[in-house]
Amino acid sequence: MTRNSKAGLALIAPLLVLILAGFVLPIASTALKAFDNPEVSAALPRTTVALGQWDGAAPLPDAVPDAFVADLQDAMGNRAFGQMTRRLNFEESGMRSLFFKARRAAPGLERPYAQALAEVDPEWGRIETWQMLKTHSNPYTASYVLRSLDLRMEPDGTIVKVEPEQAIFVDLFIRTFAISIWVTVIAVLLGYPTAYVLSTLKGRMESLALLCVLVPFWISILVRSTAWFIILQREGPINAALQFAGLIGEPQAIIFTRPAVYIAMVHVLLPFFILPLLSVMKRIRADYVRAAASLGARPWQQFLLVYLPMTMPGVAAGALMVFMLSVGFYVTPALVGGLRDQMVSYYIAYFTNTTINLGMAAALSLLLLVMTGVLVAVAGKLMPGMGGKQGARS
Amino acid sequence: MSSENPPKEQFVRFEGVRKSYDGTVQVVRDLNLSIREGEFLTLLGPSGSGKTTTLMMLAGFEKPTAGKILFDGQVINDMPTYKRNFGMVFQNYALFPHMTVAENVAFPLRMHRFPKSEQAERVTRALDMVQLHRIADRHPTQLSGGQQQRVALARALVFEPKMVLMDEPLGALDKQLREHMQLEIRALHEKLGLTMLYVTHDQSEALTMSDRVAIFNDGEIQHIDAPSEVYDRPRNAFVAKFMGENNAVEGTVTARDGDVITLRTAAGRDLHGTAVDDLAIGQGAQVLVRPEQISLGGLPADGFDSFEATVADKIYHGDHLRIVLEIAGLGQVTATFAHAEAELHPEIGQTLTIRWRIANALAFAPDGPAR
Ligand SMILES: Nc1ncnc2c1ncn2[C@@H]1O[C@H](COP(=O)(O)OP(=O)(O)OP(=O)(O)O)[C@@H](O)[C@H]1O
Ligand SMILES: [Mg+2]
Repeated sequence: MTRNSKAGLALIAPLLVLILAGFVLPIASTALKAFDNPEVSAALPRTTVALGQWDGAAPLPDAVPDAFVADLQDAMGNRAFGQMTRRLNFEESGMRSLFFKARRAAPGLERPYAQALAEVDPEWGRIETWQMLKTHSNPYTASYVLRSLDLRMEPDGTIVKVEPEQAIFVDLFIRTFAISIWVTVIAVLLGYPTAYVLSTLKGRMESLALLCVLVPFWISILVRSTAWFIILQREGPINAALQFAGLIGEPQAIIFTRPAVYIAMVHVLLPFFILPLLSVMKRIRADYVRAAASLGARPWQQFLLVYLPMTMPGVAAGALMVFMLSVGFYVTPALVGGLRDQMVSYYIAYFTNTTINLGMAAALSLLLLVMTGVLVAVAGKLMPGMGGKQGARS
Repeated sequence: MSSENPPKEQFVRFEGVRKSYDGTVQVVRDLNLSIREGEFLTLLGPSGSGKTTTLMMLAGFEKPTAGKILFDGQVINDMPTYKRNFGMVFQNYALFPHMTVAENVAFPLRMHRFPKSEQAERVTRALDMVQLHRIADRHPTQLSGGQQQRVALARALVFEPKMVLMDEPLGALDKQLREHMQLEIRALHEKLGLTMLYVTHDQSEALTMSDRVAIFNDGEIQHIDAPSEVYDRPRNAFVAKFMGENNAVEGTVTARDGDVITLRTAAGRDLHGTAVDDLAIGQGAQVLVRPEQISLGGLPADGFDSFEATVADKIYHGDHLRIVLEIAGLGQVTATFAHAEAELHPEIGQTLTIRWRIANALAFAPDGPAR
């Protein structure tokens, strides 16, 4: 390493630290959390060891129920035990009561424990119950990620679809990306002409118009979403105006519908599209379009063959920004959308705050991140001007 | 272009054309101008004199506020640019950054629906013409300024436009490249016989390249003629002072003999001048003498004014020598000498005899207050 590059490294060191602390570490810890599975081994340490020595095939060695009962006797009033039952109940309902029953009975049990447990509840006599316990005694699990894709692992290790009434996450991801794509498309269609008009204004008009774009930008997303909530509600001004104009008899349900989500999200995100595009448009001198005209291009050709391609980097940058932000949207759909309009972030918040299932929250976050990355990479390959070619040249 | 027919005298005509962007300031006032078919006409003038505006009106990017623009006898005021068929070269080249060099050059051919096979052939020929066939697949941002300029030139010429308009096409190039490109453009003009309207504010460029030069000031043509005429016989003081260098001596007209006037300076010294403007006795006037018209030595003779002068400064310029002379009653006068003449080795403080031809000392009315 030369002296220069050392000095350069020293200069960017604070930045590296910042990136590491603010970006890499949270993502890495989220990724870990999505696979982390400490509950069973924490609550049942001896059982975990015994299960580790078992190959998983029938018959169940006596060491396992022995260790289990010993653990149960220690687990009286233990917090880890409660967390474990919640964890296992998430995998299979009924587990919570099964374990509590066993714990209540534990002090009075007599050897052989396998049989005694089966008498407490026949479930304990089934090899599958123990297999499942073995699966989850592993400190790492794929089950959060699998569940986020509406899949689960059978005790024997095969991966199957979850029951239809539990299969909500694939739909959730599809919905999230569909809403994001539509919001992006609408923002592009509305924002492009707006940015163009803005780019042609001069002097006071320009500052004024820019202010109109920026002022909403400066107001918090929460405030703007709440404003839409008020505007769109049944007794809100839109319904009142439509009724007054005689266009509708009864107030229409606008709030808590998909269109309400689109309206509010596009409004919140439009400046993120307009601003990068505007800066690109401002830098395109009139000469280029004039040159095209002088070379025989009709107005539509001037636009399609020269102006549009030259503004593509701005479109790509703005669209990417809108798309990335909409994928993670939470407040706006939560306020103006119905239950069927909620996006992944809603469930991440739900698992974080309501059910305190951090594994699920982390798995959903991780999948959202990965899918978004893949989608953006694919879009970059397919769309000209969205990176690659343009960037390599300048 | 048919070579049998004589070139049209009024290929392009501006008739009483005016232009104002804001409704109050006239950027172009009452422009009357004819461009001959096949000529190289340059619009030359100080910044803001309306050259670009004139070009923009001809190209169709701006509409005249009043008057008519005719092309080949047809009024084109309302014809959109893309129908006018004029090739254009811009100061910043305006090459399309998302297209390769070859695609840029093919663009006008696509727009004018040339057959595919002919397109390829013409692109090749046009790039050969500007010696750029090797970089046909590069993008404009990968080219040097001179190369970009040549691509712009090839693109403007490849579809055989009826006329080529250039707005300071060499303005962004360094001096050497600019001189080289001047020759290339001039050679292309000769080879293709195109009508060219060229805008510049570099007068040596205008003088070396053009068949005719139109001097613009304040939205008006001050003088339009062949370069040597404009330089040697300027029609007014603005043109005289704008072109080349001048020593101006101001005074009052005390006598007049035909064209030749006698001017008395405030210090009471007399000199002669050839009147270009109408000057009456008693009126204020100025006499302009170019530094290169002043010669060393020589006896007083008919048709010459000669003076005793003291050398105040001398500056070596490589190909010539500049000497600042102090003439009693006239003030400081700058003269330039070729080396052959400079072999006289004037020293600072030395007194010399100098003279100039009265025919070359042009007399004009004093500069009016700026409009
Ligand atoms: N689009 C416009 N809007 C308003 N005023 C303009 C516009 N274009 C030019 N002007 C004004 O018109 C006048 C003439 O401008 P023009 O560009 O024709 O000058 P020019 O002779 O080409 O000067 P330069 O040598 O600096 O290019 C200038 O005072 C300029 O400020
Ligand atoms: Mg100009």
